[in-house]
Parts: sequence; structure tokens; C-alpha cells
Amino acid sequence: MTLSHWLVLFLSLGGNFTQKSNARALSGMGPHGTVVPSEGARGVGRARREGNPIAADGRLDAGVCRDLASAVCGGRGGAESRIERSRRAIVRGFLAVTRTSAESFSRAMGDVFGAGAPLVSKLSDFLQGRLGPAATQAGERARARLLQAVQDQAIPAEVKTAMIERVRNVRIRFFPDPSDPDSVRRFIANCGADQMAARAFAVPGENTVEICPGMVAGGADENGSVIPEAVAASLMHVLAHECGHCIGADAAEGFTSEFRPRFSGFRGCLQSRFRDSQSDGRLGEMVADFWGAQALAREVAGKRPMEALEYLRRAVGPLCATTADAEHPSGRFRINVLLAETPGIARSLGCRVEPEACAIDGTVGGER
Amino acid sequence: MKRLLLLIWIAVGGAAPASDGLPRIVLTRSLDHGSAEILTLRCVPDTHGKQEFFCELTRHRNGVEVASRGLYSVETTSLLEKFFERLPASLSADDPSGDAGEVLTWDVSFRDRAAQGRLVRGDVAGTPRTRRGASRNNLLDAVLSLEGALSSQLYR
Repeated sequence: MTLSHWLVLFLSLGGNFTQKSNARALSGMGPHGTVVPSEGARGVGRARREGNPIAADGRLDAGVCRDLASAVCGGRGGAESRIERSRRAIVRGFLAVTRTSAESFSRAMGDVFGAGAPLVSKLSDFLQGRLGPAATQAGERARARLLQAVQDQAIPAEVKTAMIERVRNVRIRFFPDPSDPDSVRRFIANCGADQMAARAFAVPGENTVEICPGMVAGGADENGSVIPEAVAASLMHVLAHECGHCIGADAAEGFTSEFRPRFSGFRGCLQSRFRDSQSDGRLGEMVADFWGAQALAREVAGKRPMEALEYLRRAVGPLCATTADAEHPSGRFRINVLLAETPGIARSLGCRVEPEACAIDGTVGGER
Repeated sequence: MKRLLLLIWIAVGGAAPASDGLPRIVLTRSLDHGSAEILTLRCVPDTHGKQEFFCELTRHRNGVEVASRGLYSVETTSLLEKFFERLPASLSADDPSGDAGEVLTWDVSFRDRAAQGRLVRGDVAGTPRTRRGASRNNLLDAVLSLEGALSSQLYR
């Protein structure tokens, strides 16, 4: 193919994609081109340009406290590209180690449940070897933070004991069980044939959480080297959130959490403050976010404000481009309200603790 | 009980092929909470006559283009022919059961063939492969293999 062919192709097709999509990521628009609506108080919908968040006196700029989402999400386009390079390096590492040609890999990936199945299984083994130790470590760290968070809540002792027992027993899976074809099929359906999709989900009825290897890969550097601390940071919120579903308020698909009534005060508090943006349908996700934020607060405690902000960028960055749906509030709401109002997070950032923040029992101004 | 599995709905032929017959693929994988990764293949005719057409494959994640690659018409033709070969001839149109928990959507057309549909979170754990219909398994295989074949091109 000649240079002119590629030039024609580029001009005809893709030349306008990058600018538009980067601009969209920075302007608070969702991945499908919809504008994220303004929601509630505390500048949830306010945009803030990316800039130096450190004020002259070394503290974080006050804008960070007013609109944490913009401080966390600024420059997210770069982060997405970095994650892409990390996952590409990991898969290329697999090809090099197994001496698999690009052509053979493409053939296998194009027949994932047929002739390509052995190579897909080999990839899974490779990912487990490469990412497994850091993933397991991250899982246990998130579990420990969540246990601390449960312990600190003002809830009856028997409920606390039941929640702690549940969290201790949550099964966290990062890789499919190669001996179980249904497990492999489910992982590929959820995570893609290369298993590199950044997805995570909970099955509260089975006290199980599944995290795609692609999500773990986000904690690798651009050479594919896994950095356990980065993996732990990038997974802390998602793991605590997903485990939080197992001690949350979920009610869907024939399952209702036994803990749901415990969050009626939390729901009432949120509804009184954000009347039109919340509903019962979102309670399950908002409670899971409550637990995610509680675990994060314990992780960032003691960090300097800038370190805490950097940590949050990695931990909740994936929420940045998300829009509201039937089950989830928008990413901006989740960051600016459910996360930023968590007292421990606010303190770590050097921000004022929101006096109307909602605690688990609905207490206004809870200090947990 | 909130379990994960696969409910598949498809409308084969429900999507009109592009009038120019050129390949067109849009595969959208929902990542989490409203974010998505989109694989797009778009093609233009080769005006110089050496290839039938030229295509560009791009991956967007959360609205950001993160990877792209040009594809020759022979590569594209091969993977699309395989996809349509694998697609079951007859499929019962299942109820998509609302829009919650969408995992993957596809919109594919080439020459006179077109297919679109989606995979949603369902009751996988309770519906092992052996209990799902063969045509639904074949559909799942076809779509996931198409996605795999496209993704693998971006690792080159």
C-alpha cells in the first residue's frame, strides 16, 4: 500500500477522532457524547480547568475541595492512553514468552472457543502468573480496609458481626477457572477474548466479586511491569465497591440484600439533599460507593493532600467518563458527593468536612 | 438473586447493510457504570484499484481514541466472512429484558449481510452452556471471536 493510500484513508476516516474525543473527555461529556448533567449542590456540575492544584502556601487549591471531580479527571485522556500501552505491553510480553507470532495470535483470538481455545487458556495462565500476586495482594488490602470501615460504623453489633463475616468470606476472582468451561466462557464474555477489558462486577447472592485482568493491568507500567502499589491503588475503590455490594442494599434479579433496611437512613439523607437525582433504583450502587469511599478514606489517611489527590486520581479515575444510568449516578456525582463528602477523604485533602454529609444511619454530619 | 449470565438478543437482518456494501463494524463493550470501549472499523474504496478497499480499525475507551491500525481488504474480508459463516441461520429473538446490565453490542455489515444485537448480563451461572440453545452458543462464539480477531490486530 502506498503512502498516498494511507493518507487518503486517514483523511477520510479517522483524522477528526482524536481531537474530538480528547476535548470531550476534558469537558465533562460522557463517552457517548451526552453532556453530564449538573447535579445538586457543592459545584457537582461545575467545570474546572486542569491546572496546578497546589496553592502558593503548599496546600491544595480551594477549587479541589469545591470540585474534586475536575481535579481527579483533568488529563484523563492521557491516563487512558497509558493504560492502553500497559495492557498492550502485557499482551506483547505473552507473545514474546510463548513465541507466538502475531498471525497465530490473531487466528486464535478469532476462534476463541474452537481452535484458539488452547492459546486463550495459555494467555489466561500467563496473566495469572504476571498479574496474580499483585492482584491478590490488592484484594486482601481492600478487604482489610473495608473490614476496618465496617468496624468503625455506628451499627448494631450483630449487624456489624454479620457484615464482617460476609466481607471476610467474599470470593474475589481475577481469573477464570480453566477446568470450568462455563467460568472461562463467562470471563471471556465479560472481559473479552484478550481479557483486557476493564470490567468488574459483584454477584452478591454468591458473595463473589469478579475483576477482569484488564483492570489489574491498569496498575502496570508502560513496559508491562507490574507495580504492586499501583495495582493496589487502582483497585482499592473498585474492590471495596464490589465487595460493598455483598454487604450493601442491592435488590435486583430476585435477590434482596439482608442489609438493605440498614441503609434506609442513608437513603433518606441523600433523598432529602438531592431529591431529583436519586431513587431507590440507585441505592444499591450508592451504598457500594459508600463502602468504596470508606475504604479509600482509610487508605489515604495520613497522606499529604497532594499525595491523597494523586492516589484518588488513580483509584477513581475510571469513574470520570461515566454517565448516569438506571442504576448509577453520574461519575461527577459519585466523586463530588459520595467520595468527596466522606469525612476521612475531605480531611486528607485538607478540605472542610461537609456538615450535611450522609452517614450509614442517615446522621447528618457523621464523622466516619 | 443477582447472578451474571448471558442473555442474548439479536436481530439478524434487522440492520440494513451499508448501501455501498463496504465493511462496517461497531462493537461496544460496556466497561462499568456507563463507560465503554468501542471498536470501530470503517472502510473506503480503493480508488487506485490495487485493493478492494482500505479500512481503519480504532479503539476508543471512555471517549478517548487509544489505538488505531489500518487493515488491508483481504484481512477484513476474511474475518467478516468467518463471522457471517458462524452466525446461526435461525435465531429466536429473545426478549432483551430491559437495558440494564449491557455487556456488549454489535452492529456489523458487509456486502449484503448485516447483523446487530447485544449481550446483556443475565443468569449465566444458572444457565450453563449445555442448557443454552446451540444457536445462542454459536452466536456468542461468533461475536466474541469477531471482537477477539479485531482486538488482536491492535497488538501488532
